[in-house]
Formats: sequence, C-alpha cells, structure tokens
Amino acid sequence: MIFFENILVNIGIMIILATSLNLIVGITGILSLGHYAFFGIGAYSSILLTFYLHSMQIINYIPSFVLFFLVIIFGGIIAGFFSYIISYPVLKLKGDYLAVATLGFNEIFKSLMENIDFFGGAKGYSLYTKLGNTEPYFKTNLIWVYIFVVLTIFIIVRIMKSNYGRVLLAIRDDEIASESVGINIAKYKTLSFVIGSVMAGFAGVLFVMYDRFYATPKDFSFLEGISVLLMVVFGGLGSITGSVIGAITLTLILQLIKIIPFLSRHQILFYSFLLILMMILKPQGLFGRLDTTQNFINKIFKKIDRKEI
Amino acid sequence: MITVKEIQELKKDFELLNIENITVKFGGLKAVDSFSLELKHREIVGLIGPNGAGKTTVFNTITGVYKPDSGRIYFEGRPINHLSLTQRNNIGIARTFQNIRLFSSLTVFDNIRIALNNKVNYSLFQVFINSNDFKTQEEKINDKTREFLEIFELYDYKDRIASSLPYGKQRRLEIARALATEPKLLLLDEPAAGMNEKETGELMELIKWLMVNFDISIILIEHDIKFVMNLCPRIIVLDYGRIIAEGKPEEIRNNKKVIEAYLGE
Amino acid sequence: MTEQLFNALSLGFTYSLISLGYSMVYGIINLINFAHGEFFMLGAYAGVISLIIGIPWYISFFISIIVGAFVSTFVEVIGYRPLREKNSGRLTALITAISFSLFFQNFIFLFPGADLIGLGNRNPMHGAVITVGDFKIPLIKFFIFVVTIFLLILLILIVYRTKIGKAMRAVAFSKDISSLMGINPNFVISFTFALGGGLAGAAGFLEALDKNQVYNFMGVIPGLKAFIAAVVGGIGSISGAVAGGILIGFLETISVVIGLSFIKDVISFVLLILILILKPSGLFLKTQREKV
Repeated sequence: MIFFENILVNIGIMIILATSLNLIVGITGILSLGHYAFFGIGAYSSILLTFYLHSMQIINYIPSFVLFFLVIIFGGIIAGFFSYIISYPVLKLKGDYLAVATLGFNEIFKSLMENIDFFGGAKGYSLYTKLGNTEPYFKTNLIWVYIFVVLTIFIIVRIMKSNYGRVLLAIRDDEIASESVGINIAKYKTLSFVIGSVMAGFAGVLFVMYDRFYATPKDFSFLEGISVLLMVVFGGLGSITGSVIGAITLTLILQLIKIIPFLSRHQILFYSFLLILMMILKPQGLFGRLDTTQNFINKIFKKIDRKEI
Repeated sequence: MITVKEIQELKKDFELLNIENITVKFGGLKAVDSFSLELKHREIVGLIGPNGAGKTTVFNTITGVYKPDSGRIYFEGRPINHLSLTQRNNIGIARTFQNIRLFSSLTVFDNIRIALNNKVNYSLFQVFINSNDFKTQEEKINDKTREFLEIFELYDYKDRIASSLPYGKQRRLEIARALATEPKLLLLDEPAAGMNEKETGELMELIKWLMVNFDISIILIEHDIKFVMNLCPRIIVLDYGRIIAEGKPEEIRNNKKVIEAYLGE
Repeated sequence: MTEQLFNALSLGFTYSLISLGYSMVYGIINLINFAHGEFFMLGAYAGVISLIIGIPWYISFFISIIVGAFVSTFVEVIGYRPLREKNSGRLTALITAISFSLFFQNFIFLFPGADLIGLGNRNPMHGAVITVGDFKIPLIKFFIFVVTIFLLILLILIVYRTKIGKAMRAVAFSKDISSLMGINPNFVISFTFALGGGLAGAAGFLEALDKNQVYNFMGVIPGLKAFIAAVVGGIGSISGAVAGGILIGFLETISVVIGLSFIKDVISFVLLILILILKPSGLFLKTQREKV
C-alpha cells in the first residue's frame, strides 16, 4: 500500500512540475532550465518555516491542516518572490542565452545552499534531526498532493481560456509581431514565469514534507530537473494533457527502471538516450498541440454556464 | 504676432506624423540618410524605390524596432523617439511586415483576438472564477473579431491555423490584425507581394474602403508601381537611403532621377 | 605571484581552447552546443587511455584531437543536422544538445571503474618543473601555454588563409548566399564541428596531464565556463573567445588567492548574467542590430 502511495505522490508532484514548466517553456516559449531551483526554494523555505513553527509551539493554537496549508502557500510565495527578482534581468535575454542564464541561476542556488551553514551546507538540512528525530506535526499525503495537482491544472487551463493565455502563445510564436500589436511582453513573460515558479514552489513543499523532511542541494540541481524537461518534451511542448501523461508515464517508467538492475544503474544514460531518439524522431512530442484536458475543463464550464441560464 | 518657429511647431501639432532628418546606420553604411516626412490625417503616401533603398528601415524606425542614430520623430505633435514598439502601437501606430509575421501556430480567429488584447481589463482572478464581467468582455472581443474577419472576408477561415492559409489571405489577415489595434497610422510593407491580379485588385478596393471608413493615414511600400500610382496621390522615392524624388504620380513617372535609379541597377 | 600568474594563464588558455568551439559553432548555426564539454572529456579519456597502453605522448595528444573532432562531427551529423533540416526550432536543438551531453557523461559508467582514471607515473610531465630565475613553474603549465599559442596560430591560418576557412566565414554570414556560391553548407558546418571538437580534445589532453586524472563529469563545469567565456568575449569571434577564456581564468585564480574559493564556480555565472544584461554582444564586439 505504502509502495503505491509513494508512486502516486511522486506522480502528483511530477505533474505539478511538468505542467508548470510547460506553462513557462511550452506555452510562453521561455527556455528556462532553472525550474528546479524554484522547486528547491519551496522545499527549503517550507522545512525552515516548519522548524520555526515547531519551536514556537504554535501547533497548540492552530489546527495542523491550516498550518500545513499556510506552509505550502509560503513555499510558493517565496519561490515566486525569487522568480520575480530573477525575472527582471533574465527575461530580457532571448532563447539560448536565457537558457544558460537560468541554468546559471540554478547552479548559483545550489552553490549557495552548499556553502551557507544556515541551510545545512552540502549535506543538507534535516528537519527530522532538528526536531530530535521525530516527524513534524503535519506532513504531505495523497489528498494534499492531488488538491494541488487539480489546482495547478485548473489555473493553467483557465489562463489558456483567457486573453492572458492567448497573449502568452502569441509571444511564443513571434515576439516582434506581439510587440507590434501592443503587447507588453515583459509583463506577460514575468507573469507566466512567476506563476510557473510559484507552482514549482508548491511542489517543492509537498516533495520535502512527504517522508523525507530533509533537503539537500543535490536534490535540486539542474541535472535532476532534466527528467521534468523530458516529461514536458515527451508529452509535447504546449500541451497540458501531454505534460500530465508525460509525467505519469515517465514516473512509472522510472519506477520500472528501478526494478531492472542494469537500467537502474544507468538511469540517466537511459533517459538521455530516450530524449535524443525522441528529438530526432518526433520533436513535437506525443501530443503536439492537441489539448484534451483544456477541452474537457472548458466543457464542464459550458455545462455550468448553461445551467445558470 | 506669431513667429516662424511657432508656426512650425503648430504644424507639428496638427499633423499626424512628422519625421525630421532621421539617419539610421548599419555599421558604416547609412541605410537611411536624413529622411524627412510630414503626413496629414487621412493621407496616403506611397514609398517606393529599388531593393535595398531603405524603405523597410524607415518603417522599422517609425515603429521603434530601430532607434535612429540622429533625427526626431513626432506623432500628433509628441516626440516618440524614446517609445518602444509596444508603446508606439498603443498610441496608434500599426504595421504589417514584408515577410509576414503572423502568429503562425494559432488560428485566424485568435490572431485577431490577440490584437484586441488591450481592450480587456479583467483580472486573472476574474478568469479563475469565470466571473460575468470576464464572460461579457470575452463575448465582446469575439464579436469584434467576427466583425473584422467579415470585413476582410476571412470569416470562413476562422478556425484555420494562420500558417496554413494561402499567401494572399495571410497578407489580408495581417492587415486585419494591424487594424484591430485601432491605429491612426497604418504602415503597409508590400501588401500586394505574392498576390495574383484579382487579389491585388480586391486589396486596392479594400484599402480605399479602409481610408473612408476607418479614419486612418497610410504609408505604403510596394513594388507594384501601378498599384502605388493608382492608390497614392503622393509618392516618395528612396534610393540608397535618400529621398530622390517626391510628388504626384505623374511627376514621379517622368522624373529623370527616378528612371535612372530604376534602370541604372 | 609568478606561479599564480601561470596558473591563471594556463587555466584561461584551457577555457579558451574549449570556448573557440562553442563560439565557432554558435557563429555558424546559432546553437549553444551543450555537448561541447563532453568532446573535451572524451578527448581527455582517449589521450589517457593511449598513454596507459604505452603510446608515446605526442601520438596520444594527436589521438585526443582526432577523437574530439570525430565525436563532435558525429553529434552534428546524427543529432543536429536532421533537426536543422526539419526546421524544428531552437528548443529541440537545445534539448538534443543537453541530452547528448548527459549521454556521454553517463556512457562512461557502462565501463566499471572508468569513471575515474588516474594517470600516475604514465604522465610524461608528472612532477616536472622548469625554473625561471627564482621561480619554479610546473612543466605542464608551460606546455599548455606553448601548445595553445601554437594551436591558435594554426586555427587563425585555417580560418583566414584557406579556402575552407573562407567558406566557414561565408556560411556564418549567410547560409543561403553561400549555397548560391556553390558552397555545401552542411559540409562546412561539419568541418566547423570537427575543428571545434579537435580543439576541445586537445584541451582535454592538456587538462588530463595537468590534473593527472580523468573523470566522466570533468567536461561539465569547464564546458559551461568556456561557453561563458565565449559570450563574454563576444560570441562568433576568435579573439573574443580567447580573451574571455583568459579573463575567466584570472577571475577564478584571483577568487582562490583571496580566499573565496567557494565562489569560484559561481563567479563566472554572475559575470555571464551581468554581461548578458549590460552588453549582450560581449565585451569586445560592437553591438549589432538584429535584422527584422
């Protein structure tokens, strides 16, 4: 049972990461390679906050589920805050340069975490040890994960249904044409980047508060983040359904790989090979631009609208 | 008493566009060399010249893609040198591109809806809760889009991906998209390029119709001399970045310098 | 002090050699070839294995160059060319490049024990020192210095004095125009990859002799820094790549000398972001207008 719960939690977190990265990379066309830094920022800020909540004994006054909700939101806000600061210099860059700068940001984040003792240095920050080898009052479970999965998908789908989403797609297609029809591209790119990063922050909290209560800089390196990029590309850039299915399929494949000893030793070799094949054979991904999730949710809205009339 | 200087300033206020001596350099090369232009409201001017004469560079400078190395540009009396591409569209300058820049992976309908992006003012939160304000604004946008597509006879293609349209239709769509931003000045960069004779004729009628119904001024770059002569009472000829002639179609037709520039290639 | 100067220079020169490949490839097809650091790594491996099985150092050095050039061309032909022909966009090319990079790094793990190979006493320059006045400089640092200058002269001769060099510059200027001139752009692009890969392979060999070992991730950080060097110097420019490499070599050596060694790897990223924001065309190039 625990085994299945584990996999489902993993899948949920990967869905949040993949769909939010798709918002940034696939829908807006911002080639960000720094998504895992915001995942990490969410994780670190949540375990730090949880530690202080514990030392303040605040649990005696407020129910734990409220506290946990606040912790998740806090993780998202901190990730969003840093992404906002980073967006100012980084989003001025184009294409490949932006990719390298965001990769650089991810490495800077990792390097800072490794070198600042307050965050536990290279061996990481263990909430579990800090609390005297006990688990915190609240932790991630399946319900929490899937509440945020639904929230993430809902937000992105609604964005795509509005002027905001159309403008993001326009920016991806042609920046100069977008400016020539009066779109403030800096504003919309920042919006997309920050929203995506906030979601990565949520995922970071859910990830670290599940059964680890422990964050190390290595968990949030650019290399670890490649698997999420793989999910997005696998499902098709710009397709939300694709990202969801990409996240499910690849998380399952990775689980499967763990059972086969040869593949489990050479995980990264295996999926880099998969990526190369994918890029050469079907660069537009499994789903291309087809988007059934969007259609599905829009249909639900239409039904609700009809009832109102 | 009114001084000459004041009269000049007054003129600027009443004209739509006033370009004073702009020069644009690429490396050592002057792509545009002290170019000046005054454009009144509801006026249409043709800009012609051999390939590489700097016509598109003039457009890029008016719209803000390039900043001129010297010279000033006024729009409705207001200096706009410092404004960005986006800001210049917001105050009423719209354009089409020589090599067509549609939102090529999006539908025809969305291409126009995107051009109407500044007409909405709902917040993200209203989007999430599907508020009535959001719905009515979206409906308005859709109605307006339909209107534009009908004017341009593109409504039947509304669900097609823009890049899948035939070339002539893509040009029309680009003009429709530019107009949807409600400009006062429209810059058309070779709108008839790649069109057949019938399409060119229709385009000419359309532009005439626009002039009457939309209250706009137009600057037009075109290689089809007949097209320009038919449409524009005033024509400017560029060669090597400089204005070599300016005047009515018949004056241009008989201008020695112009004939030399075209034949001397 | 002199010793540190040589440290900085030899480090900078190593970056320069890698950086040239990035710069030339970017100049010709506008792609950040993220796999470029792996050509450096694989070149180093090839050289070290040759030395261990007893091949003389000058032939091993040559093998490093050949392997670097070969793998580089292989990646271009197998990976990038089909994408270019399908016109599938920057992101796909970039992801392919990253994937190749990961693939090569982890490919080494297929051979148990290969992820770290020490050279030991097989290193022809191990422990050798030359004395200049009062200063003792490791022979390898001096060797890096001489070899880099030799390779740079060779490269400049190829790019500016040969037919294929002229073709490279023509294709970098415009692929369409050069194919009208009867140049086969694909051949020229492959040649550029070979040239860049060869230089990276050479740098790998020098690095292996300097550190007396090779490991499978050795290309990652130098690769990124060399890319930064190329951007800092102005991408597409040979002198810019060299100047950028030397600048980063000095910055890093200085940060170690003043006791801030932990920022060593971060400083170049900070420099990158600053340069990209303040002067995106690089320190040594004039800003050019993007054509619309």
